[in-house]
Amino acid sequence: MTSINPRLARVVRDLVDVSRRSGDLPVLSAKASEALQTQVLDKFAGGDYEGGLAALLGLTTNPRSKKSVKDLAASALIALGIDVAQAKETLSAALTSLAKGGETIPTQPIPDLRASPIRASFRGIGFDLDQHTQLTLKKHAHEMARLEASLTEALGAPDRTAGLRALESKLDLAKTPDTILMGMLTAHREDEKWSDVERLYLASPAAFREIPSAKREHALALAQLGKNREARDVLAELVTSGDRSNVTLGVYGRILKDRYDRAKTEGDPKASHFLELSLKAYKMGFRAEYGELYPGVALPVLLEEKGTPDALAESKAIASVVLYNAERRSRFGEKNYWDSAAALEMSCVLGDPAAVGKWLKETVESTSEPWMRAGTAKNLERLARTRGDAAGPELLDAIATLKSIPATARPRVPRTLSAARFDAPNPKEQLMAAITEQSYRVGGRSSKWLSGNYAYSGIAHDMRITPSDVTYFGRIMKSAGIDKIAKPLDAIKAMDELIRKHFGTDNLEDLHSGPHQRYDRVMPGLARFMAASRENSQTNVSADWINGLADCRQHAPAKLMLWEAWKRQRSHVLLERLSDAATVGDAPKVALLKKAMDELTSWEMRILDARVVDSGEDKLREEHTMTILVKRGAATEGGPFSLAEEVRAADAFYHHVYPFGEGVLKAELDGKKLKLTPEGSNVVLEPAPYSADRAAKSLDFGQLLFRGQTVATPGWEREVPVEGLDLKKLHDYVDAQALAAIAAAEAALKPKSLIDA
Amino acid sequence: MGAVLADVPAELALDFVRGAIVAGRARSPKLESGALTFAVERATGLTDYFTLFITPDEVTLKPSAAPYTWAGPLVTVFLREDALSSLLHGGGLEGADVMGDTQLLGNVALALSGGYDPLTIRLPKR
Repeated sequence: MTSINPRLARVVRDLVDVSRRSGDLPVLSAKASEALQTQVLDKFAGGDYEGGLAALLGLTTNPRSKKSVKDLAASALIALGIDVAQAKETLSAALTSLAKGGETIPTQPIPDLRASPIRASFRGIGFDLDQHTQLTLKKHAHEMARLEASLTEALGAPDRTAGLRALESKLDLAKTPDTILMGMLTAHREDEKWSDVERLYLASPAAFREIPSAKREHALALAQLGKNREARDVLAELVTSGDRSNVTLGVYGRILKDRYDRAKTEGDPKASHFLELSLKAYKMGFRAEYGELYPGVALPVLLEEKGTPDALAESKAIASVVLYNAERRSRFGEKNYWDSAAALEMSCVLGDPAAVGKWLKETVESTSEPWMRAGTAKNLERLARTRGDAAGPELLDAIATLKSIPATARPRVPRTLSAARFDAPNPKEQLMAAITEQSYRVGGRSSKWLSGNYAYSGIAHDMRITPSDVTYFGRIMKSAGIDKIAKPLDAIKAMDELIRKHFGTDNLEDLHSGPHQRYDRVMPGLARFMAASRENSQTNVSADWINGLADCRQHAPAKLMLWEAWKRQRSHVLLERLSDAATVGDAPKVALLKKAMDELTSWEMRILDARVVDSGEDKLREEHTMTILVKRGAATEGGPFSLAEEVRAADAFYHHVYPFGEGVLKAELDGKKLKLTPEGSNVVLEPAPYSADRAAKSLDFGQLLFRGQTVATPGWEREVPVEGLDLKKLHDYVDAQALAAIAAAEAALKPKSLIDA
Repeated sequence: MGAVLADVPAELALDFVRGAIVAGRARSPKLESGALTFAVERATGLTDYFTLFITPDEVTLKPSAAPYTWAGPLVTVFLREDALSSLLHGGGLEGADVMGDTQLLGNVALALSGGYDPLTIRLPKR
């Protein structure tokens, strides 16, 4: 998004006003005049000078007025310091000079973007640092930008399969980076172009073919193309090589289920064998990550189809656990399709008509793609087939409703959904509404897809949060023994100790200290060195941890990641016990564990981009990014977490300069604006205008990004040491460049100062 | 120096260049097609890409690098935003790197040289 500069806005306002008063534009009401200004400003800010001018000229009625407005526009732009005639001449001269002295490099073939000096450093290998390295990185970033532009163009083409094939034919796949290959592969899978998935996968370089998510896509394509045995082989190899993730095991179970269906249709006696194998894979997936809904959600229906007394009892037990988990996840009110659909499916298995009605409504109201609804309907149809005449009307109604939604219907929902409303009578709910709107957390829309992309006023790189980051921070958390801590507040204390030791925070809190000044030079220097672009400066939270340099903007996401890893681990343990208790029918234990799980779920960590304001003088001291902890409550038993019971400071950065590390924050509303005051402090925290959920999905297949460049392939999260890597040589080089630039700027100013003196 | 782009979005500044090429391309008959990408490095260290696509019929500005599907000649100019500011003030193009087709650069330069166009404003000497 282009930011609108106040000076440009003023120029446009003058332009419209003067044209109107001089009679070149017709008489306009104040509202119409403002609308015209906005239209012109939007065009100018978007770089469309002629479009902006056309909006004005369209209102003129004679050639004299047209010329007058054109001249006025040009004069107005001169007011911004642009001398077009002069600029044109100097640009011509500059381009001639570049044409004479420039380097000519062939456009094709593309350089090998799979090899980069910076990747070596993330493997702990040193590399030569000089201007040549920097130029290589610059060219890499540029080629990457070209590739991304090509991919965007192909994805937006009316016939995107043709667009992707045309792009593929232009590329040397052996030298094409993983991100582009995965972007093309994912698009083909979404479009169900299974032959294209298979062809592209097989033509890709060996290193890409080793990536688990690429293998999973390939296996899915093979299964869809009827090459079931090959698909099973690919997944079996993944599982035996150590990938026991819920996703891989879920896909494996699904392919075995397809094989079972085929065998059953053909009357093959091996059908029950494939059913057992499918159930085994799904169960392993369910146990791998109890906090996730997939693939546990697929188990109860298949167990009911098996039909033995044990299988039927197990089906009900697992359905009750998955239902509880889906309900728990939905209590933040974010209307995630998978949460609602899982709750719907499990309510159908458990035969609860009231719950089916409730969750069917939620499912229909959640944003979903046709393939998502088709998957849910297919599973329910399987259940209806198994039950035959015993299938209840609520089950048949749910299937009919899901199938009646047209493929093009995509329910539109607001970006930030919340369980809390501003217009609620309860002040705690109003407070929760403000907190949800004016702060953010990862996975706001889906705890499964954690990828985010948020900038800090365009100054810092985009921070990227993926499931691999949670895995990496899970290792960091365990290495410090934090996973053994049961209470949230104790865990947070231990997290702060770990973070502050890693980043050396005691020396950074003073913004004028040597280490902080060095940080201020090196961080933008690194973005420059890596030629990061505005479109792509994405950096995993883990990459910043590995890099070891930080101010508050690195502390807050690192803390959030540790918290998410800790909460995920605690949830896994509690849900595992819950599942065991449900399986043996121990109702009192189930109730106890649900209570503990509810308590854990109600604690939420969020990031606040805050203005630190002096409460006495109402004066801004600084802008600061920090984490806060919110204890959420529900108005009814098991209802949505719509109330803010308590807000606590949980900042890992300021412990000495400001008392933001711990303690209850006095939370108030000034209109709809949140105000947080630490106990006994003379400062108030107010959300900065840009503090909100800006999370956007980014293509994630487990790669590690640093300033927009892929520096490690999937698997890094299990390999990179938890203490990070020694990148001092790189930092020193960048710092030396920054210091030299400062010295040059000071030297350039000196003669002027003397003259002035 | 360096202040202009803080006031004017780079898109707008480069749109002047686009307009000037449109107005002056008659002076450069060999300028038929080409893509001229400006990789503008901001003070923050981040780079923005803008490409002028020149075809026989039109000149358009898009906020991205030229894609691989572009078949014509190609030039990329790497420059810092203060250099672009300097140009708009009538200064030189200091510290720019260029790669690609030098013929295209020469033809664009010719289109920009001399003559006047609807946007030309003559200022009294200061």
